[in-house]
Amino acid sequence: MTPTVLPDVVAGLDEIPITDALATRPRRRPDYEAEAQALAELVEALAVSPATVPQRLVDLLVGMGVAGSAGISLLTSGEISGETSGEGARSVRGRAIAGTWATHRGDGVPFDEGLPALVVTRNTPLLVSRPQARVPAAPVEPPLQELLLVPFHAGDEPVGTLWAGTHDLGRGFDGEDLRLLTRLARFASAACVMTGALDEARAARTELERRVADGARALAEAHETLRETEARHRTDLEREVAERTAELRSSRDLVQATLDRSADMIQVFEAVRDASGGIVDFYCRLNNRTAECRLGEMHGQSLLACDPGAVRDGIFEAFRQVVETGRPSVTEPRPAHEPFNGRFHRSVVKLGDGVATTTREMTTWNEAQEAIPQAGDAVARVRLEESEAKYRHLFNSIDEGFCIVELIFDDRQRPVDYRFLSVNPAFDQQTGLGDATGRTMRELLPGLEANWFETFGRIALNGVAERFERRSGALDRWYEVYAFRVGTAEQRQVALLFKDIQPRKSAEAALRESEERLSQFGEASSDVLWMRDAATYQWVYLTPAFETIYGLDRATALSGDHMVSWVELIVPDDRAGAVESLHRVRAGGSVTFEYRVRRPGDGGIRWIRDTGFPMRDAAGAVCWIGGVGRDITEERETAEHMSVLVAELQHRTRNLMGVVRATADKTLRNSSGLADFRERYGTRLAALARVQGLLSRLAEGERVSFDELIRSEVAALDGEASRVSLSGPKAVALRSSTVQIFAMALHELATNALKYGALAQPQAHLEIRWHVDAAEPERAPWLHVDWRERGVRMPARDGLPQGSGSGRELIERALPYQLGARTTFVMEPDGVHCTIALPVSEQTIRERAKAALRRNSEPADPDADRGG
Amino acid sequence: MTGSVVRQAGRALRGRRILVVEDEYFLADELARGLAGAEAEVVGPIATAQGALDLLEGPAPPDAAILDVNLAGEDVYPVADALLALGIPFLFTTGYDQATILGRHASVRRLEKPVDTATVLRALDLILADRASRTGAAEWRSHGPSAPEWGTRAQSREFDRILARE
Repeated sequence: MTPTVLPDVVAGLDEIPITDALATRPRRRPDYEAEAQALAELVEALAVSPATVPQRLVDLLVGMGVAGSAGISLLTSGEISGETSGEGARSVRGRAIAGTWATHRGDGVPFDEGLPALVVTRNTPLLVSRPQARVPAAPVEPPLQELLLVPFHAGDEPVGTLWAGTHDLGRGFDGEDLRLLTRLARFASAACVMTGALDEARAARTELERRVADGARALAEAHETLRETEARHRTDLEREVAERTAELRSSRDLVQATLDRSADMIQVFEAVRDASGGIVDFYCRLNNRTAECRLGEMHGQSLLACDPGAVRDGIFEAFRQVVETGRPSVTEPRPAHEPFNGRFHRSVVKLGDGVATTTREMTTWNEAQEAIPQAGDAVARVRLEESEAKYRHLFNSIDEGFCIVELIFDDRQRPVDYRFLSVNPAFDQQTGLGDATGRTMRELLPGLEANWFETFGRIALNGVAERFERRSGALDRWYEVYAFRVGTAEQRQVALLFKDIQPRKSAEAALRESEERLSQFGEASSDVLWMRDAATYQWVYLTPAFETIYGLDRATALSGDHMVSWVELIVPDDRAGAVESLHRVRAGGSVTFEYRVRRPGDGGIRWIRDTGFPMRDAAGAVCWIGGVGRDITEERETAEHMSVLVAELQHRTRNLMGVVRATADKTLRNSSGLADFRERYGTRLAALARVQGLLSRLAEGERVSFDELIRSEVAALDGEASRVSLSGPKAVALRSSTVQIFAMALHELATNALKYGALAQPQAHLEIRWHVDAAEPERAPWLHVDWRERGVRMPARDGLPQGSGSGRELIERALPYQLGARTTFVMEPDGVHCTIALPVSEQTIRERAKAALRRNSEPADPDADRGG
Repeated sequence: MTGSVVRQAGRALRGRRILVVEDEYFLADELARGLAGAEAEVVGPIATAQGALDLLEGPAPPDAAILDVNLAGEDVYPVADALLALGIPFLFTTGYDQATILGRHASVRRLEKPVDTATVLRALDLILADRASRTGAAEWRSHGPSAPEWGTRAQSREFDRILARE
C-alpha cells in the first residue's frame, strides 16, 4: 500500500488533502477494549504522576501496536527561524518518545522541528510518507515508512504534536488511527494542562515561601542593624559625655590657673542679705592665688570677718553699691592697715548677686615708674663720662697742641691777653712754654705779637672759627692754627688747635731757594732749558737763551699755542722728526734730536740739538717733558769743514804719493848711477817737503805768497843765498793748487844754478824779479817771474852738460800743462834766462787777511780754494 | 811696474785710443808712458775738463778714458757725462773716498790714488773687452734692452776678482 498523494517535499505539504487520503483507505475496526484499558492506565498515571502521562501515552501507542515508534514533541511558542518553513521555526522544548526510536530520546528525531511546527501552525493532522527523505537531517534507523501527526493542545492552543510512525512497509495509517491518536492526544493535553497548573501552584508556593524567608531575613537584619546603631550611639554618647566632662574640667582648671597666674588679685563675692533684703556682708566665693598670698585664705569666709577694715576703707560700701546699681567701680584705695597697706588699683563689677573684683598692687609698679628716670640719668651720666674719657684721651694723645684760653680784654674792650684754662701734653713741645695752665700768655711770653690777641679776641666775640698760618717772632716758629670759640660770647673762651710748622716752612724756603738757584743756572745757561706740559705740549718753562738762539722773544713764543709756534720756527724738512721725538719723550724715553730753525728776525738758519727727557710725578706718570737745547750750528759747520779738510788732506796726500813715485821714476831714468839718483832724488824730496811745510802751516783762507816760496827755496841753497837778488812785491798770494809744482820747478832751476849756473861760479849771480800784472781787470791777475842768471861763463854748447833736463821739462812742459803758465827758457850767453807767467789768487795776502776778518761772522767760506 | 806686466795686460789696448784726464803733470806723464808702453794711443793727457771736452769734439773719439775726479778743484763729471752719452767706457782715479763720487757715476769703477800703472792698464783692458762683447751682443740683439749699468756692475765684480788675486 503506497500513499498516493504525499508530496515529495515538505514545502508542498500544504497541497495534501490528508483527511481525504486517510478517508480513501480502509479503516480497521476500532479496539475499544484496548482503548479503554489505555485510558484507564492514563488516568491512573494522571492521578499518580501527571508528568509521566505523555511518556505513558506513547508507550501505550507502541504497546497497542498502533505505531512502531511514537512520540510527543512540545514546541516553544516563539519563532526561531524560518529555515524549514515560512511559518517560523519553533524549537522542541519537551518530548517523550517510545518504540523503536526510544533509543533516540536524547537525540531528537529528524522531523522534530519541521513537521510539528507545521502541525501546530495549521492545527490539523498530517500524514507523511517516508518523512526522512523529505527533511535534510541525518537519517535515523530504522527509517519510517509513514508518519502520522496530530496537534497536541494546551487548553485551546496547539503546543505540539503527537506522532506515530510505522517502520513496516505493509503498515499504513487509516482513519481509525487518526481517531485514536486524536482522542489520546486530547486526553494527554488535558493531563498536560493539569500538570502545568500543578507546576504553577507549586511554583507559587515556593515563591511565597521564598518571600516569607526573605522577609524574615530582612527583619532579622534590620533588627541587628538597629541593635548595632543603638550600641554605637550609646558609645558615642558615653564618649561625648566623658569628653565634655574633661573639657569642663580642663576649662575650669584653665580658669583657675589663669586666675591663679594673674598678678592681680581676683576675688568673687556673693552678697549676704538679712531678712529685709539689705546687704550685710559678702561671702567670698573665689579667691585666686595672688589674692590668697596677699590677703590670706578667704574662700568661703565673710568679707567683714576677714577684713575688719573693709567698712572703714569703704570697700564694703563700694561692693554694695556695685551690686545694687550694677555700675562698675574703679578705685585706687590706699588702705593703711595690715595686710592691706599699700597702694592698689581696684575694679569692681557686678556678678550675679555679688561682685567680682580685680585688685592690682600698685606699690612696686609705681616704684619702678619712679626708678626709670633715675636709671636714664645714670645711663646718660655714664655715657658722658665715656665721652669725656675719649675726649680726654684724644686731648692727651694728639701731636697737635691744644689749649682752651680765656680772653682778657682791657677797659676799652680790646683783647690784651689770655689765660690758659687747660693745655694738652703736646702743648709744651709745640710752644716751648711749660706749666702754662692757669697763667696768662703775657706772663709766659711778654713779647708775643699783638695780632694773636686780636685774632683770638675776634673769635671769642663773634664765634666764627678761623684757620690760618702765622709766624710768631717771639716764639720763633711758624704755626698752623685752628681756633674756635667754646661756650658763649660772655665766657670769652677760645679753643686753639695748633701745630708748629717751622720744619715745613724751612723746607719750603729751602726748596724755594734751591729753585731760585736752579733758575739762575737756567737763566745763565747759553743752552735753552725748557719744560713742556706732557698733556698739551705747552711750554711751562723757557730760559732766556731761547731768545738768543731762536732769535725770537719769549713773550711772542709763549703766545697762542706754543707747540704750533715752535713747530713753525722749524724748517719744514725737520718738523716731522722733531715732533716725533717729543712724542717719544712723552712716551717715556730720553731722546736727543737735531733740527734746524729759521730765525724770524734775520732768516738765519740755526742747527739745534735738543735733549728731551720725561719728568714724572709721584705715581710715575710722565707729566712734563724737560729738555736742553743747544745751538750747534758752529759745531756742525766745523764738523762739516773738518770732513772737507780731511778729504782734502787725503786727496793731497795720495796725489803727493803719486808725485813722489813719478818723480822717483823720472829721476831714476835720468840718473847716471845710484849715487847720482840719491843726490838728485834727495834734493827733490827735500823741495817737496819744504813746500808741504809751507802749505801745512797755512791757516784757513791763508795763502802761500810767492816771496815766501822763493825765499824758502833760496834759503835752502846753503850759503849761496848772498849771490841771489830778489825784487818784487810781497804778499802775492799763490793758489794753493799751484804751489807744489811751482816750487818744484823753482827747485829744479835753483839746482841747475847751483850745479852749473850762477851759483856754481863765484863771479856770477842770480836775479829774480817778479811783478803782478793786473792790467786786465776782467781777468785774474798774473804773476810774472823773471829768472836771470848773469855773469856765468857758459860752457860750449855741445860739450857741457846743462843739467838733467828736468828743470827745463818742468818749466817748458809741466807748468804750462798743470798751471796754464806761459814760460820761456833760454840759454843766454851769460846764463839762463827763464820767465814764468801764471795766474794767481785775485787778492793779495793782505787783502785776503782783511776779508778773512770780515768772514769770521759768516758760517762758511764759499770761496774756499781747494788744491789739486 | 815691469815690462812683462805691461805686455801681459796690454793686449787689448794695442792700437786703442785712450783719453787721459789728469791735472797732475807727473801722474799724467806716468800714465801716458805706461799706455804708450802697451802700444795704446794716448789722447791727451789733458789737465782740465774743458780741455777734455774739446778733445771729445775731435774727429776721432777715444775708445776708453781714464779720468781724475778732481782737476785742480774742478769736477771731472762733465767729461764723465759726455763719455756716458757717447758710450765710451771710462775709469775714475781719485784721492777721495768712494762716498765723494757723484751719485749717477757711483757705479763706475774707480781706482784710488796712488795708482799703480799696471792696475790701470788691466782695468782699461777689461772695460774695453767688456765693451767689445756688448757691442757684439748688440749686433744680434739690436732690439734688446740696453743696460749700461749692467756692464759696470759686472766690471766691478771682475775687478774685485782680479784685485783679490793680486
